[in-house]
Amino acid sequence: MKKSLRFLALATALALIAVALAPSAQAAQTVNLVLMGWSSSPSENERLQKIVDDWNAANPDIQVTLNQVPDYDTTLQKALASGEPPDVFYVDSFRFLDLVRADALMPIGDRLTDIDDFYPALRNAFTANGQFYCPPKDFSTLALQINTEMFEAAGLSAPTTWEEMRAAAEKLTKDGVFGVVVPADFARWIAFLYGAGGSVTDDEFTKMTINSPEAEAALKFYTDLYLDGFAKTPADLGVGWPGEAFGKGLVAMAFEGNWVEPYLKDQFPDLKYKAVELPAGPAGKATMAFTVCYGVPKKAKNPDAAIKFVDYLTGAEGMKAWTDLGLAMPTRASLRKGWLEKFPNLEPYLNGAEYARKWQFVPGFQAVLDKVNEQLSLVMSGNQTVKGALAEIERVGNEVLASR
Amino acid sequence: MSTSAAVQPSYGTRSFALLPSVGKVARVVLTYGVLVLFALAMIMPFVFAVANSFKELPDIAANPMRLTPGVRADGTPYSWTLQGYERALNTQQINFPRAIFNSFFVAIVVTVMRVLFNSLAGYALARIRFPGRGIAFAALVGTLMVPGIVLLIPRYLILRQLGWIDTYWALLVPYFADAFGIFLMKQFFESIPREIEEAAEIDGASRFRMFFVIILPMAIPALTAMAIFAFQGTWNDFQGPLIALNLNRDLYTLPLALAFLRGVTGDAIQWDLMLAGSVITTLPMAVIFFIFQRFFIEGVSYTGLKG
Repeated sequence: MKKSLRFLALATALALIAVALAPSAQAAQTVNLVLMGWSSSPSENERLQKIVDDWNAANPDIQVTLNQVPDYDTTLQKALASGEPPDVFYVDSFRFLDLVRADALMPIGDRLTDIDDFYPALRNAFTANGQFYCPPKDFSTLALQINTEMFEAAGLSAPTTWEEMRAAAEKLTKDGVFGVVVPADFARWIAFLYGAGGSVTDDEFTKMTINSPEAEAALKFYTDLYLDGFAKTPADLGVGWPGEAFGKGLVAMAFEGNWVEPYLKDQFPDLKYKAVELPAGPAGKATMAFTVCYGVPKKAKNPDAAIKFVDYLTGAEGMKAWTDLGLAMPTRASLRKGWLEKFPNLEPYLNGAEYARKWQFVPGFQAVLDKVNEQLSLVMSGNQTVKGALAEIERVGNEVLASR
Repeated sequence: MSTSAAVQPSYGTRSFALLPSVGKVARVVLTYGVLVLFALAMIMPFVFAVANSFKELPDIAANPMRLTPGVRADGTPYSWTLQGYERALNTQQINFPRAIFNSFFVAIVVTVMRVLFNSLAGYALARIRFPGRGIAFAALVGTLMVPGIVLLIPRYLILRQLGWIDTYWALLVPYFADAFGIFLMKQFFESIPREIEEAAEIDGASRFRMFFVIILPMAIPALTAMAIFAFQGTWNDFQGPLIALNLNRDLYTLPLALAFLRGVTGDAIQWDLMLAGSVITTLPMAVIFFIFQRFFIEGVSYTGLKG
């Protein structure tokens, strides 16, 4: 080991001298990049590796090493702290503003191909201070999954409004099955909040706007499903998450993202179901978009090569190769048609791109999210009123926003 | 018992005489009943993990609480399968067999070195007078109070300065000694009567000879305890290797490989894969536990007394 290290050091030294002595024309050589992302399902890991391998074969001057890691947040923190961040790395929209505030990202939006092709909601998720920082690699949205067997047996069609959803939930709650599974989770309720025309804060995150009649309607609708007995939480049903409750046929409806699709296909192959868009609230349709971009660090050593690579990955060709796996969805509107031809059953999710809102808050907002989850549970257990919950969230939220 | 006494009154006196032993039996049954219950509660999750790791994915999802393959909705039965293991062992990005080797290699080397260095250091602090001994010991104990997470980034920076990132050195050397182990050994050596060493010294033994031939054999209970903790701690360590390794996935130990397998699949965990990986990760530790059970328990009681 030691010997080989010494040999390596010697070889490197010789190589450096050789490079220094060589004419400058030959100094233009291979750039090595590292792309860091989190490890995902095996099929996704392998697909991305293949895309990188193909890139390397076609671009001898820019060689990319794909580094998929477990425990991404710790690893990224470590890499940023060391001052040698990876050349390209995943940025979750939820973390995006943290990284912007830490001045860790280079805005590369201006240097990418045809950025108007990205869905505005997704571009917006990675825009701060008027600058488009990094291109969304893919995204997921929430939709309503309905058990078609149960719906047909009850003579119901897919709900398109809140009223229909509630009526369906009521009718389908029988024989030990419940109408819908509602988690006490802000990341799900917020879609209903937007559907009612409510909001969490003002646009500049200066104060909370959640204590409103719209939010009250949304919270009442959501929690009444539960309090009236048409819905259960995953915990009530003894499962880990809504997808599992739906897969096991314990509920007739669930509202999860498109990540539920491969899960249901693999683990509940006999389940008969389909996805439809989330039912429209009083203010129209709404859903949430969860998205991730390819970030280039501010301290990038080879920004040009990194940007070129990112532009490929999120360009028409690279993104098609990635999203043809049928898991996450293409963020470019121009790819919509071709993608839907391959995955027609996922259309309700992709349609959400038109009206989806981003899952993103300001740094330090986690305390507010925790508070919302807590208040949701309290209301659902009958220990808090809808009005009281919103007032409490508003109070805590304003404290957090004021201390920024 | 009372009904039979009522039917056959002639046994009345006899059953009276038996009463104390009946109480005894009842007590034993109760004691063991409770023990068995707790033992089951402890072992069942592992049993389920092993059983489910040999089932098909839809079967795990539908019948997680069955120890044998269940039946599909249409009546056809599921079968046993090695698919989870095949998928885990054939994961493209992770060399699972290599991870098993790495885990063993790292755990064994660290354990041996830690036993050596901790006992040397503990002995020095217990017996040798040198300037700054008190301060050194206080500093050592002080480090026990520092939560590990605080040291995450500094640790990485040091490893990077040394050029050890992505090498075995980073997985091994930082763990060759630990404050708790040194503390444990110091306390133990202090409990050995000084007269024994004085006798050896009079016989002309050097300090090293004295240490290895006389003192160390007496410390075997403490050394075993420490070795077990060292092995277990290293085997299960996730954060250490996570910091030490960057691009070199060939050096992944089992906890990292397992975390990689899980990925960010969130709630939609692929249970066959995860359970197979977990069983591979847990089994060696379980086997070692069964073999060294006695030492484990002695070790725990020992540290409980002295630590």
